[in-house]
Amino acid sequence: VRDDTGDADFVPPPFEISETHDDAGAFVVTVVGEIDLSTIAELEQVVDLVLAAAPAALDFDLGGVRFMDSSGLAVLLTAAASVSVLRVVDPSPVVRRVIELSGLDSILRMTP
Amino acid sequence: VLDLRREKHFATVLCGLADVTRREITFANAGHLPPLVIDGGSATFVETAVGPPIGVTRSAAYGSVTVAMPPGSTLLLYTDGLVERRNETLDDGLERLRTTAATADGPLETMLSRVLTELTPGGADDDTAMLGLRWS
Repeated sequence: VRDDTGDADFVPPPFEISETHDDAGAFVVTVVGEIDLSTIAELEQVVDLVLAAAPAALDFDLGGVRFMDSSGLAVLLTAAASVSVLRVVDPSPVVRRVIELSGLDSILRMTP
Repeated sequence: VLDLRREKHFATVLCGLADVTRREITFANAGHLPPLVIDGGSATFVETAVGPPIGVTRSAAYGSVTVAMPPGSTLLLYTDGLVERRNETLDDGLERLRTTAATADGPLETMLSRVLTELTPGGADDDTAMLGLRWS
């Protein structure tokens, strides 16, 4: 995370990724925090590992995402191109509007 | 042109075709934020039929939308860096742009400067580009 405040006490906003999967090969990646250039490498790493397992289905739970720029969209789209069923579960309003305004709601299916 | 799986990124494209005689512009939109038309103290986003950005899929279809450009009106195109902020949805940023642009009169260059100054105080996080077109 960039420290552009010059403040020695700068605390980066919390960012967490977790991954679970079941025996049928359905994976869920949950992200909490801000998806931007400072956190994208971490997300990319997790998604690459998941894709390497050839998931039958992949859900991204993005209810706790407070910011997502186009680098986040690119990772989601790369995953969508690699799995047959991809869903964005419980998108936060921020995530929902980025996907809708980018004309991507037909590719990154959101539920609900 | 671009393939997300190869280049790891995509691009948004907003394409406008101006008919000078009819004073109309026809838009096709691949994932870009909507153009803004400013006319006589009010500003309205063009409701383009937005399709996916380029580089994402080969099977996208794009619709077109035509808008009238009255004499003296201004068309404003911009990148997401102008409106994208942390802790708010894009709608908040778009509304800030709309209200600011509606009251920013004067020559085109003055209008663009004012919009840029008011929307990116202290500089933007992301790179920002604007294109203004005034119909005289």
